[in-house]
Amino acid sequence: MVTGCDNLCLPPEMIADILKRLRVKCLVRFQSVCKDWRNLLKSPYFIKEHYHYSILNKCLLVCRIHRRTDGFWPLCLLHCGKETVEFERLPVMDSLGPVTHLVGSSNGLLCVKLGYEEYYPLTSFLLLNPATREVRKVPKLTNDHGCFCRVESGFGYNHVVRDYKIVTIHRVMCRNRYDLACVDVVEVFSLRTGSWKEVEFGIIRSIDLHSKSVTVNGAMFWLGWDCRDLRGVIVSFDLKTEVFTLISIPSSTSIYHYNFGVYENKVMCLPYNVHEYELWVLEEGSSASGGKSWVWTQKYRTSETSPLFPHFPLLRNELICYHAKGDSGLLFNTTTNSKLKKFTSSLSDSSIVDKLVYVESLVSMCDTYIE
Amino acid sequence: MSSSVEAITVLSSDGDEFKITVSAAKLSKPLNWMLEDVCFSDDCDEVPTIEVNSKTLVKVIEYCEKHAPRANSGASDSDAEELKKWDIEFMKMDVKDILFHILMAANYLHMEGLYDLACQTAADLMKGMTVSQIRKIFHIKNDFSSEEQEQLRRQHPGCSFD
Repeated sequence: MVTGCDNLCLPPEMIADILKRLRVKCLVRFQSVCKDWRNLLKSPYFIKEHYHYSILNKCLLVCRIHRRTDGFWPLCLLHCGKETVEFERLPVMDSLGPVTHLVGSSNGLLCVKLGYEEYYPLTSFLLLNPATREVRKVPKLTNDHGCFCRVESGFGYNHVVRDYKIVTIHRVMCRNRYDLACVDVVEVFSLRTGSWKEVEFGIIRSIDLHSKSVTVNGAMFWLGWDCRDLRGVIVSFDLKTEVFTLISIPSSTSIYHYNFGVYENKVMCLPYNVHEYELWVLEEGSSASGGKSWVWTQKYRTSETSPLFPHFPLLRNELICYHAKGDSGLLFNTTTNSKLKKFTSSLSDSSIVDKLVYVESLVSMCDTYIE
Repeated sequence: MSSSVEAITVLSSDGDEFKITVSAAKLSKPLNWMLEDVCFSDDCDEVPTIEVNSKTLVKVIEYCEKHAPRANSGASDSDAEELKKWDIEFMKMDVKDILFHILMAANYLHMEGLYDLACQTAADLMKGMTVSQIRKIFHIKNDFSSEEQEQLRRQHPGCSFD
């Protein structure tokens, strides 16, 4: 690489070490510096380095906000303590309708639902990289029940099959009340094949999903409620084998509410009540028969007098908490048990309709996969 | 290593002599090795050379001396805050002039903290620069043909060549 000061050449590794600290918007611009830089910025090596650096340093929340003036729900990026940035509206959204649901985010790609009616089955899905403005329309679902249907969904990446998948769980709502929660069809979209297919779902037939999906190590998870046994349950879907598994939730006493998310790259369950909360993570163990088993480990437990409410997990070991009195957000580090800093943003919490942890990346839907 | 030695003398690539305290030299593995070699020998006449020019070495030693107490003992949060502020002041330098030399020296001397700081400073400076400013500080020639420029512009409407 021919670069450097008059008598000094920076080797390509150092150029990469500098560039990985820049926002995607800058990097898109710097592709036109020279061919070497363009090749570096398009290389899977650099895209991976940049993404991993961003995970550790620039974790963001992407939000759908309610704006009273025009009745729209624009997408925003929320940085801790920094200015909120509204995404530029993509032309495709004008034809498909506003974003009604943030489905999931993985490797810097975002999956959103668009449309005008939340429960309508013909809602379109859109995959986008908001930073590079790359967009991919997802074909319509093949199942059209012709009546009102609830579609729950999730989006994630599996590094073994190197594929992004959207999972949709359909429930037809027009039968008697008792059947309300029954699952009718599960359809999975694969970015690699570009098409939808139905998968076996018997085990989750009576499970109602109560959370957004999270993806950890190539499997998707939801917090659910078993309507037959009347108990909370974790639903897992392996994105490689496309098989559902049910996992019981951690047993804790006197706790009624559950928060759910990812913590230190593991599935996290956060039972809480007005006085206390506990933080549990799900870890893979091996059972005596040699098969997979799941183990819950308690990572953290509040002291009895903690005035902090857990609110939203960020990556690594931070939780956004709220004070019991007042609404100022705090970033709470559960490892050191200390209040890190105030989580302030220019948006009030009540205007946020929907949110996800998101990390910017150069990942493209055409050819880049993150190991 | 003799405990009586508190500082050693090193030569820059320009041949100038510099003193660096033992505790500060410990921030760099290669310097530390050098230090052990020098002090173990009976005659300490030989002055080791560091392949970094004088202008850069002054700054590197300044950084080492400032960071040595904290690196060797660990420090409180308030010290860390203070050090962060000092780093920002310390890094107020001209890219063309010395920043890239600091980056090379930090890499050569295996000083992770200084290397990260220099990378971040360079990145912060580049944020607001135009493509032609970037080419200037990195001494890069635009090697795209006019057809290739046109193609890039089509793919990325925000792309600029100036």
